[in-house]
Amino acid sequence: METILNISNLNLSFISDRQKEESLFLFRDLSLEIEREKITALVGGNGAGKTTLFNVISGLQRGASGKVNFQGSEITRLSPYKIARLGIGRLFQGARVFEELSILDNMVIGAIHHANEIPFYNLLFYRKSMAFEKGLEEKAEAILSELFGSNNIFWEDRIKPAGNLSFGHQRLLAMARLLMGNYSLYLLDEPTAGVHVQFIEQIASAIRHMNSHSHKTVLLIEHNMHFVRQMAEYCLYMENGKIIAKGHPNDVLASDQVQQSYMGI
Amino acid sequence: MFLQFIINGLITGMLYTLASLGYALVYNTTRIFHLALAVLYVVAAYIFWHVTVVCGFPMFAGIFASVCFTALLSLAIDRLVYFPLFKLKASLSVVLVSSIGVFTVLTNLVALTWGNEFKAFGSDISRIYSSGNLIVTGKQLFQFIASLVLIITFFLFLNRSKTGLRIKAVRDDSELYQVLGFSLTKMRVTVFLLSGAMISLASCLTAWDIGMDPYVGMPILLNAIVALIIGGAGRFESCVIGGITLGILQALVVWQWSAQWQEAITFVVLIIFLFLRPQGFIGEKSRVV
Repeated sequence: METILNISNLNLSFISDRQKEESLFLFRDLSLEIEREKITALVGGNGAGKTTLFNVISGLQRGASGKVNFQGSEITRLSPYKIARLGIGRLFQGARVFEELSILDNMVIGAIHHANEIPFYNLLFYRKSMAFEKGLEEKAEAILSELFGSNNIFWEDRIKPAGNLSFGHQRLLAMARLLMGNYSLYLLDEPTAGVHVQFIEQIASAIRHMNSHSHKTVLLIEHNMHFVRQMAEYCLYMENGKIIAKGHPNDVLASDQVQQSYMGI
Repeated sequence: MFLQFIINGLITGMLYTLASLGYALVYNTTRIFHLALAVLYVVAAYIFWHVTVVCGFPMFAGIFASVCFTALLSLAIDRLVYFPLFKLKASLSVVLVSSIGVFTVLTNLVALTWGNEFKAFGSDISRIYSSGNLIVTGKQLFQFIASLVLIITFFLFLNRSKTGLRIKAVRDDSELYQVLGFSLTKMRVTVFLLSGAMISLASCLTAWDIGMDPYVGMPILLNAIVALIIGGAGRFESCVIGGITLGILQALVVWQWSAQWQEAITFVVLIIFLFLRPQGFIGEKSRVV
């Protein structure tokens, strides 16, 4: 088994506002490994620390001790943008698109292009920059067509602000934008949450595209157990900042410990 | 007379717009209450005055020198004061206090260097253009055309250039911007340089007409902030709407009552908006949970 992400002895605690002396431990010696090119589901009750774990991996949550290794490099104390450039893509909970930017700009900005960060790069290297932008727009069109068909709403309305889209469509756009970045590992935080049932199959096909078509690894947090059984090849169950069960989704979700703590059965 | 005051107010409002855009660039992307921008306004005016009046260079050389110096000073304030505090995870209140500190120290430095007294750009009488009862001075006409060109250029840059789009992206969601592989640190360099340039242009255009002293910065900055708030904090277009509204309102107050009520109306308008329409003209309602 080849691992892409390896977390060892992760500890994270917060000082409680009410009882200043006591710490709230979010992670206690949490260790896990994520297998390359597989879809792994991370499940657990509310407050188990799943999203915080994603924040630690993507560099948004500081102060954790322990090690996070990605493709053999330690990323524990790196900035979020450096982690993204190493190949970790992140889908947040909720609809997170740049609302004022057009749908096409939302797609194009998803392709990491370091030179573009130089102020006035486009003016200084106009031709090179225009050719590159055109390439990105073609890539965006190809991704949107492949995921949502050739006559999709995103391409038809590409010059309109992304904020005009419905929540479900914004979620799909955020998923499609991830594919612009050529990441090796996708962290998807509740991709189906709050989304109308009509979009769930499109989200599933986007995840399959990431995994089987692009041979990338997917780690997803999900409360929709039907979706977990349908998509994931491996499952981790998290409780009180620890992984307490792991294995095939059917086995993990059927285990007595998980049934008792998560489903209250 | 009414139309005359509207024209005067419009020109003042466009200068407020430039200052407000300088403030909004930093506030919308970093949430820093950048009061030190007031002293950048003053420094810009004095550099312009020094290069043109003391050294005798042409006006455009003075503006160029002022824009470059102020942009770099703006960046230096971020690198030496705000950014280290950001790295230490200091609260925005701490950053605000540090900004007041920078403002105080640099204002005194300006007074020590160039003196406390009022300074003007020569005593020549500006050319006058009139039509019926309407009178516009040559300087006012230049201020109007230059501000209009600068505001249009700014919005073309914001909406058409990749850097502009990224500024809007950071303003929308800085966390998402980072996880897409962009550095907030590099973005700060861009916004602080641009903010310094915008405030410098506002300052040069104003000081050229009405002169300056070391304390002119804060009243202008407060007007710029009020313009942003009544326009709708968070958006760049609000600076134009708020700035021009405020400029015209102040001119009408001068027309109806007296110039001493000019500053008072700014804060009356601010209070009215904070009570009745806190999101401003074009801002969106937000709810704190």
